Amino acid sequence: MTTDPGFLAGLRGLAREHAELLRPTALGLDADPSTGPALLGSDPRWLRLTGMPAAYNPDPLRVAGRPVYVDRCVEQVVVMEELARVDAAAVLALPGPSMSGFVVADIADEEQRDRYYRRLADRPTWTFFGMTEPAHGSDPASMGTALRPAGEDGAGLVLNGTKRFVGNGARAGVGVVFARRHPGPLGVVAVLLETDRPGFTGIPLETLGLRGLQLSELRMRDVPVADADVLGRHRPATRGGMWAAVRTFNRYRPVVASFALGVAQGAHDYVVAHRRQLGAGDRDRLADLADRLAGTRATVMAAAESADHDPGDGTLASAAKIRATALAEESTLLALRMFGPGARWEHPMLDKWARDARAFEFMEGTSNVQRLTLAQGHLNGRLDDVRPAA
Amino acid sequence: MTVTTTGPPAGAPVTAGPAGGPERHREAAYRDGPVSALIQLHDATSPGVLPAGPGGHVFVPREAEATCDRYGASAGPRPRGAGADEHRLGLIALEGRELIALRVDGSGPPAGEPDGWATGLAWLRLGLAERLVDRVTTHLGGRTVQRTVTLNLPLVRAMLADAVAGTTECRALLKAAPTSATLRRVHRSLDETGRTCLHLLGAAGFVADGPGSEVRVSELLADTYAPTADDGGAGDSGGEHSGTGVPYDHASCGHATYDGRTAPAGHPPTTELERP
Repeated sequence: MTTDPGFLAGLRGLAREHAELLRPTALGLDADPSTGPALLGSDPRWLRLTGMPAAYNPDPLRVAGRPVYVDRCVEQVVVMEELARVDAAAVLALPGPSMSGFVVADIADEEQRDRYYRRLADRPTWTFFGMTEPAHGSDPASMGTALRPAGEDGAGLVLNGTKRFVGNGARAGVGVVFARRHPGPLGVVAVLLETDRPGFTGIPLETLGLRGLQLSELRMRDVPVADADVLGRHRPATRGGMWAAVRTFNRYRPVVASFALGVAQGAHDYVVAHRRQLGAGDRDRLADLADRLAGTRATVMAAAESADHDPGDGTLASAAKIRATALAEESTLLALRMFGPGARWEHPMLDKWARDARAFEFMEGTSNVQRLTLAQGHLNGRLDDVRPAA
Repeated sequence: MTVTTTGPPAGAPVTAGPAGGPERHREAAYRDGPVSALIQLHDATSPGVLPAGPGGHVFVPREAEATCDRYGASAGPRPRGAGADEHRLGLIALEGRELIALRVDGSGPPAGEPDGWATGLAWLRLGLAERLVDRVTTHLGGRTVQRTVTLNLPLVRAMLADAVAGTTECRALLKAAPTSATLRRVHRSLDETGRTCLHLLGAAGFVADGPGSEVRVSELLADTYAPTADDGGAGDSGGEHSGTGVPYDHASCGHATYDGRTAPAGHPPTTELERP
């Protein structure tokens, strides 16, 4: 799969035009996340950026006349970085496939795929990815959400459990919930679930940053589930829900890194645009930040290429996420410092970006989790270094 | 391995300071949280006067703001409303109470060495950081990852050590009467400790009804009141003690308003870095 620099530059330019649409509303969405659906669901242009497959995307984005479905990781990181330079929260709050789409694309059967994508194509529909639980994060070994037979006669299933910190959960129409069906490492399955089923409740959480995303708690009490809702049921257990989840994380981490990179770049650009004079010290700090942005951008792109080539290997994705999340935090804080005392009051966009930047650290695995993955990947010879292949 | 998460005895002074010294604001913050501690600090150090930071900003509980008929300035307090332009910049809610942010033209800290408010605020933030570290250890001591208590994971222990290295530095710095430079470092170090604790808390530090809200208030106090460097070159950050001290285009930055909806205008320039 080639990545033509000219094509990506064109895509970047288009994404930048879209990003400017988010600027006037960024602070309003932060102040009142409930405005998200009206703001972002009314313009069909957004759906073209969310990775809808060709069969459900009759009017795709075009770069130099060529249709682009933004379904490859290299395309996604370019687009998302540009959008996140203005408002990462709004981008994450767009209707469309998001993370659950990776699972559907990987293991859904034809009927499930059609059910999911047709709904998204028909009307603005938010989706969710329900993995994290209140007591133990996304550790599958401890997963408490359970899928069990509904009754003695074995007809149908019921879902019980609580998921927390689920983006767009309270406004979603459909999504994927991970639940334990059997004991053991292969006992976790992915369930395709509409949110209007009895016993399903989504409650928005008040957060300090990325408020537009409306992180939510999902409560499921005896939610009826049919066998036809279980994703990957026609596949071997080793290629089921958890397999798809790992691949989803590996493909989505470069995207999260691109969000963080966009926020970091946005803060840098804000300083360049609004500071009238820069002394030598500030010029040095800004130059160093610019260099780090370039290095992180290269790392994110390498991770995206790796994810497109082999979604089973998350080594580079972890490297990209470590770099980008740290840079987002440091860049936004540096920018605030460069405006002196009271900067958080006088520069509300910078304050918002600094608050938003802190979400990337824990989204899709903390930096400590990424460090463990990256070190193991190195020890396993998965990085393209000078050592001869084992 | 057993986990011990016993916190320090609340209110145990680290220095044998005089009764009624600034250390008591640390204890109040540790015990009662930021709003109550700020009200006590204000009553003790600046009754009737809005304390202002080097950029001319004020950030205090609304109960304290309501009692002030003067504001702080370099040559001493001045009456509010007598030609002093006040702008409300924001309200921060915390556990059912509110803190208010204002910009008061011409306001600022008194000239010279740090006053009681500035010194007490450093102790107060130290108490908040120690309170935060306790909450983090309790939180992580009650969670498991693959049947291991999270607090016992070596990477987590390393971060906890980083966090308490920050509070340790601040306790050491505050043993002597602090200068502006001391307070600047204390605030920076406490900001770092707060960030480390947020990393340890993960998403639990990101919800408004969790410890992250106190971290935010603590950071906003530093943003408002931390002394600026007075050795910066022309145009560098800080270096002035009136107004914001940093030249930027006010008109295009969209100052905060009460509802926080004013977006900065202006299109970020294209840089060399952006070209793939």
